[in-house]
Amino acid sequence: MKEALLALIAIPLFGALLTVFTARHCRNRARTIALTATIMTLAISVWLVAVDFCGWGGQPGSYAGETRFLILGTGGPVDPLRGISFHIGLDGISLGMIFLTGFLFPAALFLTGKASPLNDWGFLAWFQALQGLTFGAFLSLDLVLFYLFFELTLIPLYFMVGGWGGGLRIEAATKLFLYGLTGSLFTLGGIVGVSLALGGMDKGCDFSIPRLVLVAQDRGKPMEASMERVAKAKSEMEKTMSDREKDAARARFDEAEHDLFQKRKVEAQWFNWQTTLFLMLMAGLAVKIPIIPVHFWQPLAYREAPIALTVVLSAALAKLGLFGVVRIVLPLLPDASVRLATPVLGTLATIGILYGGLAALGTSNLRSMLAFSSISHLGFCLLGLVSLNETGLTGGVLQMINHGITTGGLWLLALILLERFPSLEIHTFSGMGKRFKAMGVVAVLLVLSSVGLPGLNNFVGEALSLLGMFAQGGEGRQLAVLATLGLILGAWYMLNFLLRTFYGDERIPATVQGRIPTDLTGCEKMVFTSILALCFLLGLYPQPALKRISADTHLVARELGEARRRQMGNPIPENIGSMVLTHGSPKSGTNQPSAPQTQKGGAR
Amino acid sequence: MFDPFGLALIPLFPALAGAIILLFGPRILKGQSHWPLIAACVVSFVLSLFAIQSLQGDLGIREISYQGGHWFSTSGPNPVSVGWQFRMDPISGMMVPMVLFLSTIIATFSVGYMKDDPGYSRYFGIFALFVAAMTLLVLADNVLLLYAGWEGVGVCSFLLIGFWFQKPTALKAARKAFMVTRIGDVGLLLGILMLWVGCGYSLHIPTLLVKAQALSPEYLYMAGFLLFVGAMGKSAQFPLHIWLPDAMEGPTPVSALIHAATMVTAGVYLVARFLPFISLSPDLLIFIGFIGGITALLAALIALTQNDLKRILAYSTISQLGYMFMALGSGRSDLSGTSLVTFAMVAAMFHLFTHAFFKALLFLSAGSVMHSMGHVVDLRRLGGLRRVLPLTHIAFLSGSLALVGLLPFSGFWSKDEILVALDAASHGPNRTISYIVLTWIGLITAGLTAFYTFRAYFLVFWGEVKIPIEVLAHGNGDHGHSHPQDSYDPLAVLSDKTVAHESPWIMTLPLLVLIPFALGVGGLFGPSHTMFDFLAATPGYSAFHGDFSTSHWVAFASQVFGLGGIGLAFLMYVLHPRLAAVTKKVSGSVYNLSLNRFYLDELLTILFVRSLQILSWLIQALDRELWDKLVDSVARIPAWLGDKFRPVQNGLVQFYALAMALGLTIFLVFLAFGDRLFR
Repeated sequence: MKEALLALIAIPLFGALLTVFTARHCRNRARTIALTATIMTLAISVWLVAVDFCGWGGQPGSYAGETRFLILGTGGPVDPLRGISFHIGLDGISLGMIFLTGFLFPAALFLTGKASPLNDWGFLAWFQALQGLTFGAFLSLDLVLFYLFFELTLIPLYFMVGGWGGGLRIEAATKLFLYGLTGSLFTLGGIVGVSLALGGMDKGCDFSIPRLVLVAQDRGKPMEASMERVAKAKSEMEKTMSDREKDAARARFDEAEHDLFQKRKVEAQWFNWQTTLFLMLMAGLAVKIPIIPVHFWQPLAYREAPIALTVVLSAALAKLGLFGVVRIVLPLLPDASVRLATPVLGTLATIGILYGGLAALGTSNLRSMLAFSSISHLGFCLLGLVSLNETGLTGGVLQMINHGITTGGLWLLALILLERFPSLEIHTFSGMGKRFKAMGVVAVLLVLSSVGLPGLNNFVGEALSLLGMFAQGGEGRQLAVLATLGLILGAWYMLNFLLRTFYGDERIPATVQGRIPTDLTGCEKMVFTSILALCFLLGLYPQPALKRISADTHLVARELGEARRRQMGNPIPENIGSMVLTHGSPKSGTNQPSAPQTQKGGAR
Repeated sequence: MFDPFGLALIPLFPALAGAIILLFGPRILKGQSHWPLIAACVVSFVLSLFAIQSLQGDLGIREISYQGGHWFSTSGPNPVSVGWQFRMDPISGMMVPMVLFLSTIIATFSVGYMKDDPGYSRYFGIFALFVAAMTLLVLADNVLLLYAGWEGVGVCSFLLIGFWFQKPTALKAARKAFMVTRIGDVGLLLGILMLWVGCGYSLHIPTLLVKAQALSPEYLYMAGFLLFVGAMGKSAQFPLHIWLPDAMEGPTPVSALIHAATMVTAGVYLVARFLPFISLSPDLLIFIGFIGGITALLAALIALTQNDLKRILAYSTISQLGYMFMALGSGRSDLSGTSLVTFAMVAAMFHLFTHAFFKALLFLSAGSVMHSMGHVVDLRRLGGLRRVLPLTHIAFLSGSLALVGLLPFSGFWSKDEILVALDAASHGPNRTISYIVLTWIGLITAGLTAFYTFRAYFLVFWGEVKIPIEVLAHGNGDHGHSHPQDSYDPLAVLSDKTVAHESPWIMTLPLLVLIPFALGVGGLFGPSHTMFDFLAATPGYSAFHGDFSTSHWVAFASQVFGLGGIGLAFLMYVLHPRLAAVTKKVSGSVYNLSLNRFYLDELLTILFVRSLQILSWLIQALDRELWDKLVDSVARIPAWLGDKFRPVQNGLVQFYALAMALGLTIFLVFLAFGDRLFR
């Protein structure tokens, strides 16, 4: 298990080096190396899934196959685990992402024809490197390590889009890089801030995600103890009879109240900090997903990037941002998440669903349409995640996998169309279903999966996301209602694509280099059969996957539930509550000696 | 005893058949692709008969339920649990055998109708999946499972409307059907979300029915309204009715099964299923009633002037569905003394039942006409066919008589119950006028129904013999475009018996089997109260005791209207054909309004489709040309700033010295007087 996870990162990176050093200017050898390396990762990821579902992996709720060694220790001999470490491990949330990465990279390469210009050694080397980095990001259990992998993916992306892309490739690559970099710089600040706030500077920075999660979970406890003390003192004060006893009780009550007040003040500051950190962390992740106001790089990049790259960009890499939300933002900043996730991220996700859907309707280029539809569909994933309850979180994570499979399949369809025809303008095709029967069947099933037909995969994820969001009540309910309108738009543009391309009078454009276009070849049939099999499997029997995911989302949801309870239930006397509220509007929370403001003097 | 697991098998067999046909059909089964479907339908039909057998026993069993494993579920404070849960109670006990019986008949008919079509196995594969989804919808004991069946029938309907995918009209009709019903589906989904949250996070239908009664009236109204929106989409109720006439682009047997007998009645089934709590909201009931009434009247008015045989039948279906919703709308629980909920449900479901048989028969007869006449459906180009197609003629006439509801035939018994229910509802403490209006809408619609049905009947089967030229051009199975040509000699065609002939036995046999059902099911189950007693025993519905002796007048009135309609049609289209042309001229714009379907399609297209398209182009253009460029201009700020400040570095030492001196001065001034300046 441990070796398998290390191999997932090492094999593609090694393959990239091998390509650079042994296969320069030798297309066939480069292709062989790249295919071998990526197919090995596919085998490993399939094996990991199998092992996990047979129950030989780690315990639910913990990480399997952990590898950990310290890169930069800050804790000294007292706490040798503290610091920046190379820490990777697998859990139910990352398992699906690993599978997507392991499946779509080889599939995209496999379907790229031998004659394609993408079989250049340079492209293949970057492509493998990208896969290794993506695996690394999904497996990271250390904040800095995650950031490193997350950020490094930009480099292969930049060179691949800029080197092998379409007509506007330079603009696309520049935009992709600058948007990504700008967002990530904020995220870096956020990561340092989280580490300082939760890890505590006095003991040295800590970047380990599992340890920080534990700290974040325990933050609420002293505060609750303090609240209990106040409540107890108050009841004592009301009970006692004699004057002397009454005075003593009153003194105890005042003391407890004062203590709570202090804690609340600190808490108010910590809460403001959380809000800032939340926004900073989200900046980079939002660009990657992308969510609506920072999405401008995406349609351009998806349209101009070499198509094999677009496949993995949309199906695997877009999940990095969402993965960051559920792995880092929600568990490490629970109070801010409870406060901000639904109103801010939920609203943006809903806007994205509708905006993406409408924009997809307004274009007649297949790649633009799929790009905007991606924004729309990822909105559903995000909506599930920010509903913050187990139902929505589980649905959101499942929907991430579903989107990878279905949209990945649609992009692969675009890829094989581009292998045959020079352009992907939808209006140049018509009535393809007559001669391209197998392709037509694949297209119909993928479109049906994409519009959320029950029995195919997307339905379960979308339904759970919507149910989770609706159960939120209040604004969550309104957002869920608006989001369902996205289902109508989704059906509309998808049917437009299907009916214009495969239905109607036969009109097939001229092919690349005048070849006679063929229906699906054997290799293509194999890939699409496995994609459709996955669609049906996850649609008809999603329970094992849901169980595996919810083992981990359950913990996140519980932590968020406690944070919500702290904010909702307020057992403190009104006057104190209102006094604190004027201070910085935290409703409740915890006090920890390591809150940033109180600890400046204590730093070594 | 019936093992409840059998319930799960009922949808499973057709689903398996569908999978087998679609996987092995094109290569192995080919022309024999219909066998798995027919076998599965028969087996499931027998199973369903066994199931209702145990429902009817004296043991007092009113439902059988099978609770299978999870489909998907989550835990936590707001759990979702969707299992393979099936339940058969009298409502579904009536629906399932009916669906499977008609599926068997129509599948047999299709064997002849679809012979030699290149998509033969695809047709039967999707057909089988439709049967599976429809039985799933009816048997589901969990709202999300019901939703799965609901979407499943929608998609099969979409695929079958677009079955001849190279016809541009077919693909437009398929998209329209999917999109319009999708609007309804979203309503249903939202209704399910509301019920789930409102009823303690349960999705189990009996639990919902119990818990929903405790909801606040506003919440109840909203949830019920959303469910009804779903029903409006699927059952083609105004204003979402526009997809059904276009859906006639599909093969005619499909129109018979999906767009007349079964799928379009799913909305009625849904509302009937949830009527116990919908009826708690009188506002919602009257809304349902009026939507049904408007639909019934409007569709009947449109059907008066249409020239396409299948479209007339489609509008007739819409109109009859409106009837059923009117019946459901009369299910008042606020009457003094008695509650009409049970009676309304029975009336609607009974009409659904009889309608399924006679409308399927009508569509199959139309299919037989089309099959023999080279797929021509234009009434103006057909005539006198009773001599050419004697069996089809009898079948169509039987269907028409049943639809019009003349006394001994099916339609009378079920339509009468609906009118009685409406009349009874008008005797309540309030809303009297509303229900009186609805009763009269029902009666007028009955008259219109009689007129348009027999108009079509007389035009096609009476008068001089007219046979379209396509008979010669088309063999069986070529379903391409029709080329209107009128220069031919009908008698020459007639004399050649091999060209214009009755359909093959595989098509006429199903017609003959259906005739007694279409004519007789109403009389068999209606007056003897068999159906009433069976359906009224559905769990969740209160027992019903009522006396409707005051409502007998509606039966007479409906007969008068019906006979009047037939008589008028006879007068205008058989006795004095010129009268029809005169009427057309006299009525002028009213005639055109009806002919053009009140311009509703165009209106709704402009309102929703065009406006959304414009919005989407706008968004697309703004995204690319405005917002993106704005962000780009932000990116130009550093370059611009650099451009502005670059001249400062001009390499002149004097300038640098001056700048240094100035800067130092400002700094010193700030140090010396800063606190005074900025206090």
